[in-house]
Amino acid sequence: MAASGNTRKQPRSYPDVPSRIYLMGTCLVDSFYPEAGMDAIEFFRQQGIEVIFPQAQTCCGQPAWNSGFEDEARAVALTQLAAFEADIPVVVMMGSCTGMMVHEYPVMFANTPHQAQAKALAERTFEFSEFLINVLDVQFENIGHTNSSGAGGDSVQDSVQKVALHTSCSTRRGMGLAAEHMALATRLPDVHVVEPERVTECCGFGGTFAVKQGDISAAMANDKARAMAATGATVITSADCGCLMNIGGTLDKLAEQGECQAIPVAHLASLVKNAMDTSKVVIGRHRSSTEQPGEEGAQ
Amino acid sequence: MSARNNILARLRAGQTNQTTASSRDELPPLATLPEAQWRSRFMELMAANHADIVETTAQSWQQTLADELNKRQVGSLLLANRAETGALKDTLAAQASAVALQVFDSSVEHWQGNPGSMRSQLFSNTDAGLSYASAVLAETGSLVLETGPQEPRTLSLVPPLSIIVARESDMVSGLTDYMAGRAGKAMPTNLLFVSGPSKTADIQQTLAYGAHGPKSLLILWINDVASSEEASS
Amino acid sequence: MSESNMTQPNFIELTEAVNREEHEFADMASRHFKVRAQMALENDTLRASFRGASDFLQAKRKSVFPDQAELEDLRDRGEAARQRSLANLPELLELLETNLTANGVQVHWAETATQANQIIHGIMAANNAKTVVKGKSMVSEEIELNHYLEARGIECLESDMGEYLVQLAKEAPSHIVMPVIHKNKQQIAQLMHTRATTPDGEPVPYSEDVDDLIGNARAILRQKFEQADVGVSGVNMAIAETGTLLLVENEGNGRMSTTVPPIHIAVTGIEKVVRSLTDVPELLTLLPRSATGQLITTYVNMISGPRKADELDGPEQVHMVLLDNGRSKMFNHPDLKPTLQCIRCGACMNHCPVYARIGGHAYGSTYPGPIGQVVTPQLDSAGGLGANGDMINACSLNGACGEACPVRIPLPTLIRKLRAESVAPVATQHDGTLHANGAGRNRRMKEALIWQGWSQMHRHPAVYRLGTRAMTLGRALMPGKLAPWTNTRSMPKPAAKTLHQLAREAGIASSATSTLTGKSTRTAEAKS
Repeated sequence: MAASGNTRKQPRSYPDVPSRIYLMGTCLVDSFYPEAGMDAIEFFRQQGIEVIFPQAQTCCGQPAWNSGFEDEARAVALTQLAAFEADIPVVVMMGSCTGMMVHEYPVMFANTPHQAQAKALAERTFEFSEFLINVLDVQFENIGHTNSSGAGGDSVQDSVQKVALHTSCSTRRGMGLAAEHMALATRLPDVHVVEPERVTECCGFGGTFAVKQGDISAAMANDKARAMAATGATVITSADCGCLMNIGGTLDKLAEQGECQAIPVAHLASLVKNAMDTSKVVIGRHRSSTEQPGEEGAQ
Repeated sequence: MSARNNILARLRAGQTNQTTASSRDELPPLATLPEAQWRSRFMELMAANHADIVETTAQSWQQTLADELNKRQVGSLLLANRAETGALKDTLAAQASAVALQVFDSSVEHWQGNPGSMRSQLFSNTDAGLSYASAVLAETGSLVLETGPQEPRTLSLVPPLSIIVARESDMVSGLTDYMAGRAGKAMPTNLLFVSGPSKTADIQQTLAYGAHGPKSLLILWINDVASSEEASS
Repeated sequence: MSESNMTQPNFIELTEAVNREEHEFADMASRHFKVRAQMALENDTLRASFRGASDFLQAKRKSVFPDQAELEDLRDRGEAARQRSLANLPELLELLETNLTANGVQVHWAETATQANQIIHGIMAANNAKTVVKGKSMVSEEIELNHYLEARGIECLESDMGEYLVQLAKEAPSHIVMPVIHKNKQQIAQLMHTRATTPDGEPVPYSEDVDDLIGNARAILRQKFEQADVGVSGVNMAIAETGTLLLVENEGNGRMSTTVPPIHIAVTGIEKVVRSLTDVPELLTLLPRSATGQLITTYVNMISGPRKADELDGPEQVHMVLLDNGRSKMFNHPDLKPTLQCIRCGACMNHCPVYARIGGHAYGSTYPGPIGQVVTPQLDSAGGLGANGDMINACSLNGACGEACPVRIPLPTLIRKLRAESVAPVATQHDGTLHANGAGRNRRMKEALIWQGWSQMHRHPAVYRLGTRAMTLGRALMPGKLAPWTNTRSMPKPAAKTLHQLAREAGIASSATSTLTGKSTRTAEAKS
């Protein structure tokens, strides 16, 4: 999905492990990948982090903003400012929406009465993998299998999934979180991360770009899907559901035409949730709250 | 004058709208290459850019030139009109007698009193031109030529073989130091950085030498710095 | 020319192939953006050329920036250097004019493309000049100088190898640094063989060997350099304090064009000026590395005047034409000013996944790729946003261009801003601030209504929840096809329940305020 165009990575400051967070599901997750949101909620709750899911949240406003309809986008963004009002970290399920809230909201509300509020929200908004790596420093201690995780493992066993990681353009370039994304994927147990050719290249989604310039978008999606298929991955993951929908949908079509195997897609949060079945989750960072988690780990 | 004034007026109007100029004017100067690596870096880059380097000394470079001309079977050489040209001609006449020598001592339009013939002479009947570098840039592997009566612009451009005499003692780290050193000095009509023979990769990214300028660049490298032998090892 | 030889390609067939390419180009150029893009996408040869070139140039650039931290530092400096120059643009232009004039260079100012063409033609007419040999100059492409001069009986020959080949093919450059990037060497071999003649008047022998091809072009062009009345070039930087024109190149045609003909005319945009020689290293360090992955180009030529009295060669006249053509307007725009930071390296197009797929001609503009999408609608001569609406939408905002830009132009942000300008409502157009050419020209009633409806739904959470709920309930009724998405993709299916529903059913707290005030909420249940 769309990268903000902020070309210099700004150093961000990260809080201690909070006792409560907001979850911003995003509109795509809401209607098309809700299980990813529930998997994330389940993960946080098991770590003793209370999740608040404002029913008043809708969409970050990006589709209209990127199409040039600034007033329409601003009105929607204002709804999110209200929904995530309290001074609690916001974890966002998609990188492009994170970029919108972190980089674009301060621009969008500059010289308006909401300027300070937008800036404050931007500072406490984090993408899912960014939060797990930089705030929680999450680790998975294998309790089920003996195989070590991650790329570069000496032997890949049957139980190990070959995962093709697609870091969206907004996560990679807009937010500068490619390393965090990769870190989370490689920390997962029983996961072997495979890299497609031209890994940094856009999948062709780009929001309304896929509709307004359908032919170009389709050509890009085809190349990306074929590169994904060539890795022999058993699952494709990302933290941007627009990309997943685009790549997965294209693979479905290619499979229909007998050109390659269909490959299931899953949000990173779902892989994290799966990992909890076989691993003990360890939070590496200091917790800010006096409140300690009750129970931890797998059932 | 109206176009000028209109453009400047619009720019001035825009200037008053600007909040601040860049706040990062005072970045520290670009890091420069340590002197110990100058020579090796230059040699490496020039070799990578298909230049030939022949090392010689201040005493024997004219002889080296004669040897190279003989070796390469150069038919004609164009020389700038410099103080040492007379002596050089004598050396070459004795040591490279097969080479026709021509001195660039009259204007391009009046080649030896024969109007109009110089360009065709230069374009068609000159195998090599001899130039003198005024400085050497290590970081980019570049030779600096300053054009003038003793360094005509076409001398290092039109003949298929460009020979440039360069002295190690004229080496500086690179662009930053060189430009800082030039500040306040008069500019020649052409200040040239030459970093190899002419080339192009316009056809399917395939590199070809001798696009429009010299096909070959020969550098006569005068080792006139005492420690140069050690530094290069 | 042994036509009896069976392995020798047939001259007539090759001529037809070259003519066909010319017609395809002309046909494409006459179409709308979307059709052009589609034609490019369907042309496998073209796509292979651009994919190959993009991969090659990306790898080359990477090889000269091995250290990421150093690259970021250099980009900071490049950006600062450009912004420093722009902050003082009018003063620097005046200083440049003063010093160029003192050096004997004649300075001309042109507000429009037509004025620039008239100035150049005027210089030629005053000197009875009939032939022009051109070094590479994108600004001369921008003002369509060749067309203007040829209509007035003047022969213009491009001398950059790529530009020469493009001219021979009767096409236009498809890249600002590598103009003939869209053709492979077989196509170029056919082109040279069928359309070029050696200085002896013979057809150039057929060869796919690049050294042969370049050698043949060299021989042809050398003769032209020798005979031309005027040389026209662009400028990469103009140095105000010394009155100097700086040109970078590899081929030597830039030096030839500015050295051999008796008159040299340089044409450039007003944004290219820098203050002093000490501003040069930062930008010169970035330009060739970003463009072609070279530490430096073969030649860097700093021209500070025509031939002096005691000099033996060089042009007797040097002219500098400073072109506005919309640049002073860019300078005044509060958001679009960074457009002027550009140093025309082409790195943005080399890294653009859209450019890699459709190539330069599909954009239909002098400057293609991301910087082209930003510059073109702002040039007075290019029809503004009204004529370039599709072009600015041909971008997924993936940010690869912004990441590659050596002077940190926020290209995706500028493209987004141009979209906003192009659909700006009437009230915004008349808000008293400056807007880009053709602001509001692409605002269509239907699209505006869709976004207004979308906005209404998403600013009212209850309406949004109702809407998404309805979609999940009606998921079985969703159409199986929705072009263009489903032309190449499966139809995404809404989930049975939204995350809003699932979270509510799981008893996830909706608001933080209640817990802050200590009231008993469903959060407590959720934690049990």
